Amino acid sequence: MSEQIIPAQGLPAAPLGRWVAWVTQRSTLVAGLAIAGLILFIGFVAPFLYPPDPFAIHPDHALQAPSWAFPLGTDELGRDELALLLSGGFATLVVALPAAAVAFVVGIAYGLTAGLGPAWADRVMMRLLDAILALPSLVILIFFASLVTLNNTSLILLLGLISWPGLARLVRNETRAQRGRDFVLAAEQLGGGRFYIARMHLVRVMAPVLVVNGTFMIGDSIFALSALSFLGLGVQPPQVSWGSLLESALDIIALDPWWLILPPGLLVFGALLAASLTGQGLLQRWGNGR
Amino acid sequence: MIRMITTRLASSSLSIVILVTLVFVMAHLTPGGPAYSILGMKATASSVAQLNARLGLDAPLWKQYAIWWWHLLHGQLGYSYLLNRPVGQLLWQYERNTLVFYISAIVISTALSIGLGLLQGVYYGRWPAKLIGALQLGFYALPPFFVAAMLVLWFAVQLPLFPASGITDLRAVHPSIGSYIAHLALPVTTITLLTVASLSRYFGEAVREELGKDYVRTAMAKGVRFPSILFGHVLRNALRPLVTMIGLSFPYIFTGGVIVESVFNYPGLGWLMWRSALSQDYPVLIAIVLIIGLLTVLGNLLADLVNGLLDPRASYE
Amino acid sequence: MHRTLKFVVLAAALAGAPAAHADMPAPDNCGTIVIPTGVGVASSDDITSMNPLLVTSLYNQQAASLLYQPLIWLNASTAQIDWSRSIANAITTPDNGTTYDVTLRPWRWSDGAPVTTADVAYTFRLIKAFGTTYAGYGAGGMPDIVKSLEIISPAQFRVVLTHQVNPTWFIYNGLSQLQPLPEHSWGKYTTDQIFQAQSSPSFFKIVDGPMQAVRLDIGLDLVLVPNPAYDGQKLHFDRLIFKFLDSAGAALQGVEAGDLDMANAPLSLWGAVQHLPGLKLTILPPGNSYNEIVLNFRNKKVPFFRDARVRQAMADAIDQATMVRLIDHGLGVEIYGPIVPMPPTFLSPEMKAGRYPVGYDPARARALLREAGYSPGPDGIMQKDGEKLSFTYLLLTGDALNQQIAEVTQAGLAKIGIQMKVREIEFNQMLALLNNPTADWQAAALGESTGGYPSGEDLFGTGSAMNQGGYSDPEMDRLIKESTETPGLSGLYAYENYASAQQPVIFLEREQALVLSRANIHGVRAFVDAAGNYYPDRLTCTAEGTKS
Repeated sequence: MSEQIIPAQGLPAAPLGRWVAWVTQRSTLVAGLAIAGLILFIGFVAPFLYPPDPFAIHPDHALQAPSWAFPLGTDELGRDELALLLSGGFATLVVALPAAAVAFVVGIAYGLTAGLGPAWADRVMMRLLDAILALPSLVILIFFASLVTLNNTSLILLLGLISWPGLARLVRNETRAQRGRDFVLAAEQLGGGRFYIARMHLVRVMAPVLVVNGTFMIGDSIFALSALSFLGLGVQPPQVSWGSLLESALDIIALDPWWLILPPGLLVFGALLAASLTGQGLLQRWGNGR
Repeated sequence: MIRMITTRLASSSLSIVILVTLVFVMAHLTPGGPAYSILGMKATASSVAQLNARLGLDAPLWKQYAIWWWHLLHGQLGYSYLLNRPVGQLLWQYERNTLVFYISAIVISTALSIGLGLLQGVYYGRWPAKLIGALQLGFYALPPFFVAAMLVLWFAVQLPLFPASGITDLRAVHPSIGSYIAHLALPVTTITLLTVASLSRYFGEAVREELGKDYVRTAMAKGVRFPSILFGHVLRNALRPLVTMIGLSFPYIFTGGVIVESVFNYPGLGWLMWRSALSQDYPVLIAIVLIIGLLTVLGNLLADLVNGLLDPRASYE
Repeated sequence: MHRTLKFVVLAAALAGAPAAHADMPAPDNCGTIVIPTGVGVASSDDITSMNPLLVTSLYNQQAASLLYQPLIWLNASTAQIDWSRSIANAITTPDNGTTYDVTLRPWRWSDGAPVTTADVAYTFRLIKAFGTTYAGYGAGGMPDIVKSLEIISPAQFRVVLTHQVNPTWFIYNGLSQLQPLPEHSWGKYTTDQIFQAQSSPSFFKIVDGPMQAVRLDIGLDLVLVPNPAYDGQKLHFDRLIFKFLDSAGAALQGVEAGDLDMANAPLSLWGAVQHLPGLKLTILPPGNSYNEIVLNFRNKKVPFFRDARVRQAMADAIDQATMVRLIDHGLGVEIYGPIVPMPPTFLSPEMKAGRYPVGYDPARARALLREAGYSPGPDGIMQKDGEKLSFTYLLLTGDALNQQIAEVTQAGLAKIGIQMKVREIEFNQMLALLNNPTADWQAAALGESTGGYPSGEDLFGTGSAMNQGGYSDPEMDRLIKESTETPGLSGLYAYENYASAQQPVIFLEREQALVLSRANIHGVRAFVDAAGNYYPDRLTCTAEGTKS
């Protein structure tokens, strides 16, 4: 019972119609990329377009609902919530995105090494991976937070070093599965070193899987940073992030500060949704990547 | 197969040992120590030193490590430095709360997921399934702290229907079951919303796959009524992978989530872990990590086993 | 020569009856009162111990003091002894500072046994057995300053010290530690067993204070009921539950929802909590504590801290009045020395008159720096011989109020050319750094309580326990010694004037506490005093219109 994805009547002739059909066929992917674009704009461009200083305190205007003067209201210290949101967005993305990149690279490297190496090395590496996967990231973070200042660089490294195991496991399994295939054996016969095989063939074969997972990892990274900031271990004051804004809002939730809760929450949601949709869309597009 | 499982179990034990060692080392190497949590502002170099001696924290690290394993092998999890209670008792007290919380959430989620998944599978390709699919994607992306905050905002602050925190009403000398349930309402709803999204999607896919199989077509051709096909065979077959999924989330049931528990001030195991990590209450922290480790490693084992059964191409040692 | 301690007798005459309530409704029974720990003082945290000798946190102390009546009750808001709440009813020092004769009033344990001097002697033995684990070790010189403790009769004992000291100092800070503990209940346990049983209500069955512990749910709450055998002030409720919360938000949420009867309201929400239905706002008088910037005198990277002129300049650059106005919404006190302005009991005449050696004066600050040889560098930061006036300031995470204090401080210092960088850090790590003489920290935001007789031997004496920065000044040591060893208050006055001028730490303003409570509860202002001591008999209720 195969389902209809393409309209029975085929592609319309007119260019606009063709474009609309192209978009609706890939609606998930398009939606994801659109939201991603919006989030990126909010995070990287908008902060420079909105002049007010996010850290300026206006005690006389504390905890005000949105108004013309303060489009998203103010927090309990009288700071402009919109400015905080934009500043927080920049802080969140500027850490989460590179962290995802770090995790991506480390995960692939580890997975390839485990997958291509001898069986004993693989066994050891995977057991180590199990242990690292089981480590509660909170413990790691509290530990490191006490040793190093949590600035952007250290956070990027920390976050990156926490989320790579999932990808490593996947890459290793894929590598192991692909290892027995003809093209790999052929390459080995021709004298290709392991690294060469990895780079030229395996990565190319795994590319769709890697990209899809990479997209999800970006979402995970943003989530992890927001969760950590929410718990006080992420971006440090006076710098804010969406997670820390939610946390301060939650502290005074008894006073019904909806303008402090909805925006940061929606933005984190938006970012995760973007990653999710994009990844889903790519998955639909490329199938299972095999 | 048996040999594979036993070798895997053996090497999983290695993972657990590595895990516990890593946490032990990290916890003890974090500057400070529980003496500061206990003594607070009264901490002075000499009182800290004396307390450390009393707690056995001045022994070399390897010795403390050995002592810890020795106690563990005798079934003792230690004594909380900070809370002045045996760790086992503490864990059980908090674990109770987590279990109630998460098991309720899982039961409700499963029921809802089955219903939604059936709808999604049966109406595949048509708008009900697409709507459900979109909702699933949406809810899956919702961060738990946001969901929790919104639920508190709407149903505890703006409409004072449910309590926003705690486990029960303290004023009553013997709190009623109703008050426990009322306090569980919002936390369970939070977890349910998030779990249903993924569980129902998984189940929906399984139902769809089952409906595409030959035996279904055969049964329909033979004139068997659709509902009995659905609830008879399809449901049963599709449930198997769902059970696996639930099984994989077992660690989560036991350890709870720090975030949801902290938003609702719900004293569960996740919350306890967070507190003991911050205040460096090593015995409690390491015991909890041990439990998490055990459950996660077993969960991974289960996942790999299931994968191995499904995909013969992956090689196993 | 029988010289009675005039001060004590005078105080006894002046103290006594509690202040008349402005509102005196018929005290209906309040039923169960649920409050978070730390109400009126600090944010909530767990109670993990009820043993008065081992309690190190404020919350534990508060719980223990409800169970065990102190020998001497110091009302922190008046700095006087409240004899109606003390087990001692007379203290004399015939030789004016070396020997102390204490008489106990008739008092009993909850099982009917009388409280006697044997219990006091037991306490003293326990204190010595615990060594430095004892929470009050070193305070008031205890226990090493005591040469002998002699039981004269079941109601009288005598303490002889190793040398003569200022009687007020020893009575307030040292003698007060000898609260009777039930030997007939605890005597059969070893110190280790006592240490391990700190959180078990069953261990604390025999009490002599106003309340008894029924249940301690670790991490959740402590349930107390009135002690039926208590001979003191009557209570107007059936149960008192201390709830442990870990955020100010949860406390606020609780009192709004009716789960809690009282909660601290953060000052930053001053505007928002004014008119909440069914709730009443009480502003507590200033407490016995101050905020401070602790400076590390041992760190070679910040040698300029050792120059008193730099410290004075820093104090002169900080606009405390603005802090009180903006951060505390006017609900705070400016503080320039080690003694808080309220109560004025221990203030020197100069302090009372408001003539502080330091105060907001940026011009004078700049002049001081110039005099010390500093001049602006190319980046605007003051420097001398290549050494810049720049330091890193440690702040506890999650402390919004101190964050704001840090911001105002930073701005003020920047105006006179001193650069202050802020770094946030967890409590444990901060204490670990501060207590490590070789650790690389430069300045830290802390607070200090000035209980009892506010001499500085623990804080500013060379090598003393709480002197984290390693401050050392022979003149300060001399003045401290005088304040604790010579009678009268002149020594204390000289010490506080000197400390205010020298700024061994930069003294900062302290905020007052706001308590939000249900409208039908009265006596909130009298319930907590300036040191966080609880007066549960002051809480009364009137019937509510609607009860949830």
